[in-house]
Amino acid sequence: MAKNSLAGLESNLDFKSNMGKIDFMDKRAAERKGVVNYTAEEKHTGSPVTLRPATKKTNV
Amino acid sequence: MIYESLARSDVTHILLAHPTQPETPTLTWEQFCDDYKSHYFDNASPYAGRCFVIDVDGEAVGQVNYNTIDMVKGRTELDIWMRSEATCGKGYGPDALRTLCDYLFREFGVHEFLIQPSASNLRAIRAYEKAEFRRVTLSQEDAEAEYGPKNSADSVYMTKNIEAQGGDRLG
Repeated sequence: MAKNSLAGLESNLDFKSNMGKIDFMDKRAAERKGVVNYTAEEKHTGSPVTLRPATKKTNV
Repeated sequence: MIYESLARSDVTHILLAHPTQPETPTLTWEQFCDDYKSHYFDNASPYAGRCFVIDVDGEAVGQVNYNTIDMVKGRTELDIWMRSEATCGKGYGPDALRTLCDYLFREFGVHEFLIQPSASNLRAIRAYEKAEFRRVTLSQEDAEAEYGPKNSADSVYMTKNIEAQGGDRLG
């Protein structure tokens, strides 16, 4: 099972959890952790990929 | 990492290859900054584009970004490159593309995604196909009218449409 996530975004996710094959954290939990995660179980390769918003620091 | 992997890594010769030039073109920091302005690296203009580092087990393995979002057409163009040869061919790219497409669909209502690999970069094309991108079947003239000019002489248009997939991944 792959676990992909978008981390550190100021998201306004209001999705209900358990939307089909994708589980979204609720908004408050996301804000508390400062992270927005979701898990997508199908079609993925099994590699846990996280997308992290880039900053200038990543360029140097 | 983002600039270094694009301009000074063991995949640079693939990423920057030009069909009519035997030598790999150079990409200076200034040229990179002209293309990737500050909003790609902060949250100032989320509709104008954003870069993301692709992390695997806490290690940066590449970058993926979207560009200006066309809200009328619900469309944006994506770019992706891996950090090095060692991080290619492991499925990270398709995973990152799916993740970003799902995010853009949820957050901004983007439902059509464009990417323009070089026709000679067969590995990239296969990776995009794994992420459900398909080559545009329009004539070259019609494709350019619809999607704008090609990024380079040997670019091919590939698109992914989330709605066309029947929402099979999005519940």
